[in-house]
Amino acid sequence: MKLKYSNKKTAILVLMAAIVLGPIACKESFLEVPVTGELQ
Amino acid sequence: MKKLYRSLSLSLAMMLMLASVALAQERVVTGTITDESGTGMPGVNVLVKGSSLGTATDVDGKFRIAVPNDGAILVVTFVGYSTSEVAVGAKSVVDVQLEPDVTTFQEIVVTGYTTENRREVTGAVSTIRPAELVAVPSGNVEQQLQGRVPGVTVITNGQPGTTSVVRIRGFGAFGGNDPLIIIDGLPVGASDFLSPDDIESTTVLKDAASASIYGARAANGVIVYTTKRGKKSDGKLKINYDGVLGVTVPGKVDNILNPQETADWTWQAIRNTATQLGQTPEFKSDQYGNGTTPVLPDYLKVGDASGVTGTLDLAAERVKYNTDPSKGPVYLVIPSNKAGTNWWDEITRPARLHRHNLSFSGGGDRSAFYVSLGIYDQDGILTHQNFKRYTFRINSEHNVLKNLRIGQNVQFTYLSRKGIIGGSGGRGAANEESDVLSAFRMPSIIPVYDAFGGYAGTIAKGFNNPRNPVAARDRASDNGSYSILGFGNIYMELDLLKHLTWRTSFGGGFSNNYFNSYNPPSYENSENNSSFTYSEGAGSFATWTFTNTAQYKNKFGAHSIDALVGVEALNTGTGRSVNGSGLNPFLFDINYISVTNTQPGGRVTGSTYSKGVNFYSTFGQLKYNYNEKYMLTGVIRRDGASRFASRNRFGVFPAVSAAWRVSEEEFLKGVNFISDLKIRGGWGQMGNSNNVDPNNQYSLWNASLGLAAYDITGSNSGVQPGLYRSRIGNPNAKWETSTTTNIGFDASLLDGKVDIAFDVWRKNTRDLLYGSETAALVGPLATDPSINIAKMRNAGVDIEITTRGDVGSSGVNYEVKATGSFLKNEIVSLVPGVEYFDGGNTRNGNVIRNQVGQAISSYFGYKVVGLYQSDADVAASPTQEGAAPGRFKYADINGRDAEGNLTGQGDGKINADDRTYLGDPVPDFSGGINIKLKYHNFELETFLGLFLGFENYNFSKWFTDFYPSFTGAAIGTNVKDSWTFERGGNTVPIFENVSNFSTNTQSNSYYIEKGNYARLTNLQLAYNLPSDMLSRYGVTRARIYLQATNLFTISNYSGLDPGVGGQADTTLGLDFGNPPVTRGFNIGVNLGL
Repeated sequence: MKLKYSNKKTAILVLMAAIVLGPIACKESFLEVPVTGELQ
Repeated sequence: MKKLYRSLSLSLAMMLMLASVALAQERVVTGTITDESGTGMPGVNVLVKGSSLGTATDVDGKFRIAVPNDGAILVVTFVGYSTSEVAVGAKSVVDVQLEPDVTTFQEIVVTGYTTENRREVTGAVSTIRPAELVAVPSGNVEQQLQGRVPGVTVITNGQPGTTSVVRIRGFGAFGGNDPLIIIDGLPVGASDFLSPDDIESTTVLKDAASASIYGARAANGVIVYTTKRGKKSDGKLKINYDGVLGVTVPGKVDNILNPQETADWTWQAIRNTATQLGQTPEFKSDQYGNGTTPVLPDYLKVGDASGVTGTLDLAAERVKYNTDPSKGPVYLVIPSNKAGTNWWDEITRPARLHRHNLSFSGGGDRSAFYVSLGIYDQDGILTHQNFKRYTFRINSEHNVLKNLRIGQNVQFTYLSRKGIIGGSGGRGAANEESDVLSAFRMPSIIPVYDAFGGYAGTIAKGFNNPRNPVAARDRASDNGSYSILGFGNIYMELDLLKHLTWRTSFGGGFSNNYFNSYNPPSYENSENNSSFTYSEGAGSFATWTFTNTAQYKNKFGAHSIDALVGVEALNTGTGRSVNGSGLNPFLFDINYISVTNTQPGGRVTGSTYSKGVNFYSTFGQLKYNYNEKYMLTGVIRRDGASRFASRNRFGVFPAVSAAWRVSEEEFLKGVNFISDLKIRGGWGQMGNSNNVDPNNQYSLWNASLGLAAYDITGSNSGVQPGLYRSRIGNPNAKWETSTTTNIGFDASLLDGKVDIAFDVWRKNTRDLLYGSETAALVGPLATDPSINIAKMRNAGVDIEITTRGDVGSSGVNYEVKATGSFLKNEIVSLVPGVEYFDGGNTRNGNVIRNQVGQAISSYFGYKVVGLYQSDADVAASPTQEGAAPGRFKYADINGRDAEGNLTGQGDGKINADDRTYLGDPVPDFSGGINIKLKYHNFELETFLGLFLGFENYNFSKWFTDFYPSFTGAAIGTNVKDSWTFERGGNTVPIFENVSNFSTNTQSNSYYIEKGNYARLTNLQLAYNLPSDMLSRYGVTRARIYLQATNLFTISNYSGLDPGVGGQADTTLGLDFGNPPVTRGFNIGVNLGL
């Protein structure tokens, strides 16, 4: 399927939104790194 | 603008060509004008000086012009390039290569996440040209920052590929002061994998205004590298080859007594000792006999006998000869080396070096690429030492759509290190068990090998316990560490609107590393390894960084705005490692040995697992300038890191800076000598968390049979590992914060002939993380938590002056760049109630004290005011334990009052209260001067580094200048100047067999020496082959050069190298005979096609 220009634009915007907002959405768990090698 | 210049030049060319028709009968000269890369330059004006004759070059850069006579001078001019004047003489072909006319303040600098014109920079930023980084071959590019960047301190050693202590604007913390290194936008832990030939730009961000865009990791400054890339306008393939062949020589070191002197001074020690006690000397030695005159033996050891004089039946001895303890008692025959062994010569060698870099670059309308292959192979001056780096880099960028670009920077690297001493990549070579110090502990009478080819050593009685360093290095010759690394990123840039660009980049690196270490048994020393230990290990780690930024850049009349917002997430390294060791493999053949082939009972294995630290950050930067006259920049970054508990996880780091281009003001318009003057000022905050373990936030437990054993089943028939508290957590720990203020100016004077950058700065660090000490009952085995408590202050001045021009009409062109920085460091506070903590453990205890009010890593001990000259002198001096003629006389500088408080006044007694600060290892001034001279096709370049106002703690003197330190071991030539009853003396103490408070058991100023030095790091003479000759072969650039590196060092320091230092920030400057930086000679070639 050949994407129309407007579809390309939309795809790029969705991709941007996912890339930028994705890390924001998961930042709390992202900053909880488990302890390794010892017991907490 | 470029078009305007082009059309102007073409019009001018046409007019000039018309004029030249009239003179067609004159002699015709042709030639090619090329740029710095050797590419032909179209539209360049070529005029005959003092006439109206002239022409312009064609699309290939070629020109043809009639000249009136042989005395004609051609003047070649082009916008953005230096004007060149060439005498025609009898030549019919005149080729000229133009140099870009880039003054320091017109360049484009790569700063955090963006690039900007130097004119608009408001922070404290220094750059280094790529040529300076490759001027001297080095295995680690960071060494080339030494003396070339004001405000950067580099303490390094002479091992190939070694890592150095690099500090930007002082020492903010008690550890973890390494600057953040960014390569193509990605943070990395080290720069040793980077080929200097691949580097396009290097920028050092020094103050908060420039660096706090990197927020929580910027407090130690940031070094931003970008790698080379092709240019889309290049049109044709460019091939470059750069190669260097060279040799590094160890130099002569002769500071150990020869055998006869050693024996004589051994007798002198016995004589002095007896005289001090009023006794008759009793001469006695395992080697030198027992007469009043020492006798050098013919054999140091024959079987069980030591100090043998006479001849031997070597054939009969050979039958008894045995070097294998497993086959019976060791039986060696060690002849004495009466001529003397120079152990430094024995463990060193002239070391070869070769470096090659082959690169291909080019581009069309839509794509550009840069590909390079690099080899760096350098032997160390210590035997069996080698560093290899093979690199392959491919960078490319493609215009996928009109407003969409994608690209990638990728490098694959193989690193090999063999025989490097010291941990932390060679940085920890400052070690009293190092092979270098061993070379100065071995008596010169001992030969390297015994009579039958085995090793000789201190197994012969009377020489104490130094180890044969040649044997140690030979046995470690197959030890090494090896890494394969991949590093790079892919990125996409999308122009969303005319002035708005979104950029996303995902990148990172992986590394696979492996090491092995053979430690065979020895037999030749007084203390030997009885077992063969073999160990090996491997690990694999990966890091990643994901960055998204949007940048809006626009100009509204005189107002310019550059706004950047970004989001970044990264992981500092996730990976695992395994290691194992074992004892006594069945065979000692290295090709046979593996951990599996060692004895089953002696195997030890281990493994680690690390998830690294995650960062999540948002940041923004807003730059405004009015007509390039008034500039304002604001930066803010909010960082979150898994290193801290949730309550203090996030930190916010703001910075503001402003600049005023005074030279644009009316009142300075008439001042002709000022071409450009910009005053800058900035304030901001940056963070640091390197000095804290990610587990610091948690209280942790671990299992151990040795530390916490109990029978959990209650059977009373055995033990099981129990849990013990391994760490006391501090969930309140947070970022160390550095607040910097910076005021400076950039000035360009005399039509760009002189550029000056000047900065005055201060950096106050608060909330320094410091390992507190908790009461033993809380958990005696637990690691104490780091708490935010201490404060540090750094202040300094950075200066950079560049001047360039021509020496009259001699044809000599020069550029002189001088850099200098002054630094003052002070610990402001530690934990309440704690005034200091000690470090630098030696055989004299801790010799370094980090105390409030002093510089970090300051030396601490007694100040020697002289030597006691007589018993009367002892009696008339303050009471001092062990005082006697010829021994150290310490300064009485402190005492205590009735309440026990220090008075600051002498009390007639020398005790621990009289210890004081004896100096510190951080240079007050670091700088350098780079001089480039160009005469026609010849270039001469030198770089002289200058480091002043620091001290080294030369602890190797403890081993060589005091008889009882290691009785019988090597004796230093210093003792020739020692105090004697006959002639006195006041510098080197009496050489006697007494070890006490007044001789060699205390840290004192005898070991402290001024480290001030100047070193000619680079002297290079180059010749550029004429381009008319090269063009026949399609070569655009050919340059050959001869080079001497570290040709001389001017210093009064008596150790091997005044510039070498220790491993950690709190133990810098401790010299145990660290591997020195030595002289090298190279020949190199640069070719361009």
